[in-house]
Amino acid sequence: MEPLFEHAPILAIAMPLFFAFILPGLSLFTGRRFWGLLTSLGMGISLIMSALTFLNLSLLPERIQLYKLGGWIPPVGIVLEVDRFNALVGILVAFSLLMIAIYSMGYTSRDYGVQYYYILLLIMGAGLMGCVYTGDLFNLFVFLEVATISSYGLIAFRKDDRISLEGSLKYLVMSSLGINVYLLALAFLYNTYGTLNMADLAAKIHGGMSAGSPLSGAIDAFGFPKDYSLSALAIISLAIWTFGIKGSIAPLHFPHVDAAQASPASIGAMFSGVLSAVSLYALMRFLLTLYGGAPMPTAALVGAFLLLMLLLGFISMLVGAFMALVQTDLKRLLAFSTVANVGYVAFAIGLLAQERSWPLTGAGLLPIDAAILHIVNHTIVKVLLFLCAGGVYLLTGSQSLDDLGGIGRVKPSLAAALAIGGLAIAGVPGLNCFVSKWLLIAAALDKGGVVNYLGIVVVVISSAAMLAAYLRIIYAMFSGIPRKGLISGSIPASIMAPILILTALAIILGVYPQAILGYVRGASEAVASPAYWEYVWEVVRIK
Amino acid sequence: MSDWIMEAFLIQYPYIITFAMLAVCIYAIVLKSNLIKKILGLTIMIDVVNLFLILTGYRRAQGPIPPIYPSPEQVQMVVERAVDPLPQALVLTAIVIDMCVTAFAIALVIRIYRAYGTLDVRKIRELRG
Repeated sequence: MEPLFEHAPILAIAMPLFFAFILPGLSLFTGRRFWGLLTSLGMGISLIMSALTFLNLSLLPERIQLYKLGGWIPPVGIVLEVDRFNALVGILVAFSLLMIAIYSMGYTSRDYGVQYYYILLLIMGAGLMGCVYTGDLFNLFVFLEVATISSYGLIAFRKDDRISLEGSLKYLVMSSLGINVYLLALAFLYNTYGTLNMADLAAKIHGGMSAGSPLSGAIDAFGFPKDYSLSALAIISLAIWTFGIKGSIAPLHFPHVDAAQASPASIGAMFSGVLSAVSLYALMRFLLTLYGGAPMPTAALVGAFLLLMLLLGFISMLVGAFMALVQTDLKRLLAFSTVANVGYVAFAIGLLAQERSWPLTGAGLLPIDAAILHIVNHTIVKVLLFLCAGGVYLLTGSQSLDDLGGIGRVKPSLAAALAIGGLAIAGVPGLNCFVSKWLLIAAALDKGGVVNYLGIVVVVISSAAMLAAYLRIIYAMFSGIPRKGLISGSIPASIMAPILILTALAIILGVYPQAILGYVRGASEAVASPAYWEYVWEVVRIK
Repeated sequence: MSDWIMEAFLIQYPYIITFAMLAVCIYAIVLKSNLIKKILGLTIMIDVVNLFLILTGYRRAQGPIPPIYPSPEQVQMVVERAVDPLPQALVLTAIVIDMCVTAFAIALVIRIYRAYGTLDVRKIRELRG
């Protein structure tokens, strides 16, 4: 058991990748049922490994697991660094991937060329798991590219439908721009600090250039003394740009919305649910773990960027909710509601703009608690909603809200799951997103100040607008006139099983949030504490 | 005063050239309506970022030497007089990835041209709410 625990983080990344590489050969003499089962097996192993990583952390005294890839020591070699925040997001991502893989077995039953879909899905899953677990910023870039390039292919999977080609190209152009902007940020980072390892970087940012590895001098490549706050300005703004495009923070949400509308519903769940969670994770690492609590001049700059996150959060909440209200396409509506929910997380991060007492403890951690809990809740519910939208598409052959009539009578369980998901994301008490919104409002009240009170008003307004948007769906499903040609047959069990599991989870986390609050608090302690880089640096120094 | 500006330009020119070219590329990506021009802008932007990354590894040194196989005694000399090889390794990775992106983008453009009969993004607008 001991070696399995030790190697669990890399296996969570490598197993989907391994299955992706054996699937092309096996697909020559096997059928689509086997491909689906193999994909689900790969994602299932990934989930087990991320669960083992999660359990292993509670056994380690430092609560940080370091995995040296190839045995190279950290500042030079690439490492996987898992703390309580990583582990929670990793288990969430692996769980969502497993649900999407099981769902795909039923959902793609009428398509051809499905083996390519499964290969790309496995590679995208491996890339996303890698983004979560890696402790090296260039490795994050590589995994993000792996996930993104396979996602371009997945958007255009139904290539006879010309909308999917359009969505894929529009997403490709903006997303590649975002990725290259991130590479530019890495160039600044490496030029300034001489390292790409997250923990080493955090040590240098917090303790000056004498801390951390002795890899860089005080003069840059062109013979100039380095200006740390200027480079921090470039690095953070470029990182917000990149992860804003990936995670659909308004006003950078257009490519995500187009992609989610044009792609198959399972891939829409990958974008809106999983990719946005991973991007928000990376953004929190940048803003809070690397730059949170940095010494002055940089601290003032970071405070300004957190204020910017607050404003972007306001814009996202309003744009997302009110654009969702006027949509006529079901998946586009869901994508806009993702924009609004990402806005809640950005608002929660932005609440730390006035924070001066780093590292945070006690009530100071409330905004991070709210952000992490909302990431978890939103991912569960948004994956559920997209999977339901795919089920509706299988029944009616349409994505339009006008064609939803009669679903409530033909397939009441699907309609009920869609209704519960919609009510959950609008923040109805008793369902999971209510808890995180409540926590967010409590954190804003705790911080005080006019801007934060204004934020509470914006949260309430956007929740009301989203409730109205989802009530339109519910009303159409249960009272609309059934469309002609509505198939009254049954939906396969592989579609209903993930939907029912996710619905149950949304209700359980709403009724009994204590089940997860302890882990969320642990995760936010890991985000805000210097233990992350102190421990890793300890390991380096011994070598 | 003009001396100061000239001197600043001479030392900072990699940054200035990079950002001037980035501005041109972002103009092409965001504002040009032809898909091929958008992809050209994207390709040039990738190259500009890679060029900048290589430039950050540059060392201005007397008697430069290649960064190959230093013995433990030579490490200090390599640090002072050789270019930094790490950005070049990063750029190699990035080039490979970006080639895939460009190839996929061009394949998509061909399919879009077959489906829509145009490359003008103002006419390819079925995706909207």
